[in-house]
Amino acid sequence: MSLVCDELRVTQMQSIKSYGFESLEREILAKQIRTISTRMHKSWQYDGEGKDGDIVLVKKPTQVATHTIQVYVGKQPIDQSLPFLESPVRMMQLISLLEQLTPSETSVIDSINNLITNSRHSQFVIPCKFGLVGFNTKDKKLSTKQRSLATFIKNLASEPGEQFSLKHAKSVPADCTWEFTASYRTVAWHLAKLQGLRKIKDLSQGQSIKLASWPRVTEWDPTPLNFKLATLVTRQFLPISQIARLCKTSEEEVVSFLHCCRACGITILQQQVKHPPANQPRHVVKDKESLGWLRNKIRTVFNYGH
Amino acid sequence: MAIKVIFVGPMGAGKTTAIRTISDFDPISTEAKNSDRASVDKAFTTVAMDYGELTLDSDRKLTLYGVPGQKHFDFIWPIVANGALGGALLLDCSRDDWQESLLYYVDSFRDLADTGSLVLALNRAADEDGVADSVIQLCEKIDLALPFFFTDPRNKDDVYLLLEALAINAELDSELYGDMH
Repeated sequence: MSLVCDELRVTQMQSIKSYGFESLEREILAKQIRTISTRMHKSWQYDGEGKDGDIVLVKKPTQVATHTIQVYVGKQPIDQSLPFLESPVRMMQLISLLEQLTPSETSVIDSINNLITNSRHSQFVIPCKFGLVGFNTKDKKLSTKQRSLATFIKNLASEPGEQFSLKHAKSVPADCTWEFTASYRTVAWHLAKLQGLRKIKDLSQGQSIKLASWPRVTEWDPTPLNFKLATLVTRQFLPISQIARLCKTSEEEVVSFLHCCRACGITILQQQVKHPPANQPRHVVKDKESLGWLRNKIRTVFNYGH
Repeated sequence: MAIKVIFVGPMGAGKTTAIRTISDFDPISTEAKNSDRASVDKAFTTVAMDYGELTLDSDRKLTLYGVPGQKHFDFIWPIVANGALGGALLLDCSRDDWQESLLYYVDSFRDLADTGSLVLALNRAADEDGVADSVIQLCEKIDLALPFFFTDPRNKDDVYLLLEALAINAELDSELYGDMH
């Protein structure tokens, strides 16, 4: 059983396929794309021959040269203003092309995280379209004049990530008062949740995942499902399908949960094989009814909604 | 039918208080004069165990055991832990040595920790984010992702949350491994 664990890269994977490439060319291309993926913000994955990748490299003679590679984004050829690739593919040329095809997506979450953790200033504001956002890097909290977390998150998400940089930071106005303050991790969680069910393409079938540390869901987003997911995903490696089944939810919800955890800085580990389960219980409480009674009795912050 | 839950941790962390908070009756305690007031300034401390109960219905109850915190009583810990649904490790985060205590007690109750049946109850944490970051670092060091909660052992909801975490873990155990036993 392989016990090699890697930090899961939750960045969105983009598929590159080739068409008309020889076997050796495909091998070289695969290596090049693996290397490129380690250098770029967005992750790329070479998926062999075919015409259904996010990017398709089609080798065919054109008017430019006999061995030019035409590049398609999906089923559309790229803008003629972008350079064609030459055959054999040169890595720097490919990097340049991919960078142009995917303008940098500085996410609001990453930018806020960067500001909170790396700024030397303890308090400042960032002006946004919807008003000022206050940063307190000592307490790691964000403040707003918005009245609710939901409105704040919705407005934050509509801002470009680049807005949240020190070059836009200003001193806190003397007469500034805030309506709402939240921990930046709570904000990160809800921003990630708003982004929806982001695909994690590098989670192949049969891979198991586990969180490296406990996500503070009782503070960030206290729901019965989150509490159950957190309990399960922190104790042992399990495939997403099994997590979904045990928590009586969909795989998409599990992936969304993982995405939120990742946004809050929780490392996600993955393992290739997971048979048999690593941690056997010391004993099994067979009387599930008693556990039900217990939870009915205690009625925690979740008000027994399980 | 009785379900056993244990409360562990160093002297003065709040174990007896946590049991008192949720028990149906004032806990039965075995307290003696504290001979180690240099470490923790309280007049009396538990020397055998505390015991309380939480009635679920006429046939079911939760039995609450508090183990003595001093390390020289560690021989009694596995006896009390035997057959427990799980345990709550209480830590007084205002003490300088709370991180050492965490590692020591998790190691002592590693069987519970490995199966998700040990939750951390962090008491008197002034800087919650700072304490949380430290807990995460410590847990990653020992390859565990223990559930942790900021707990005031005098607050019923806080103590109930610890029980909730243990109950959910036991239910998941039941679903994961029920067929194997």
